[in-house]
Amino acid sequence: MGKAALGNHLKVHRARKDITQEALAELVEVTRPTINFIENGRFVPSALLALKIAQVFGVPFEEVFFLEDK
Amino acid sequence: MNQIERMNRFRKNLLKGILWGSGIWAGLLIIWIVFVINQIVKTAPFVRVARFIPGAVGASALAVLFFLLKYWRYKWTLRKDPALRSALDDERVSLSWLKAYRFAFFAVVVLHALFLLNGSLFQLIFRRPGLFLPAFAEYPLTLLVSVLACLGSFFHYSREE
Repeated sequence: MGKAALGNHLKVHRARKDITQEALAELVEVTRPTINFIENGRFVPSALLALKIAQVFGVPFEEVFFLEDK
Repeated sequence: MNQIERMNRFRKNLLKGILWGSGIWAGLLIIWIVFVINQIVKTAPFVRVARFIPGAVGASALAVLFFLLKYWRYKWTLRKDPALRSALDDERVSLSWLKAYRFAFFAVVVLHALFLLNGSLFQLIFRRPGLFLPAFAEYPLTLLVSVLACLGSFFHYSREE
């Protein structure tokens, strides 16, 4: 297995639920830039935060986050 | 705008105030040491302007103190609301601070290596004294470089695309 990164469909799920970055940040109790960083792949969230985000969207973890080759 | 976002912006502005205040303070202090104490530039217009530098150093120090007091008050306010505090100091912010502390540590090491180079090593290699650096200036310079390196790199690691 080569170098892998954590990809995400955060933007898609946000659009589907019509949630802004700010609202999502408030729901999972982080700052808005943190959501922006995760969305752009600049920050890998902890398992706890990733699970909280998936819970907000009401979908399993792997529907929001996935492994991608670098 | 929710409370987390509002407080996050407030913190960002406070830190920017400390960063700019420290930057001006450090810059003026360096100009004072290099050009006034060591008398590298002796032209009349510069000497006239240089008279105001100690006052400006004091004023910038007061500005930094003002922002530090506001920052302390901001931290004190957060003590009452642990949920808000943990939201503001989330995992990404904590990681940015850790990276910033690491960068500031190396900046201070480099600064002290320069002090050493300017002192004994300069004399040893070039057979003439380096820049005169009074002891009272070394401490604030170390303090300012560490604050500037820490806050500057924190903003660098926290900047959005």
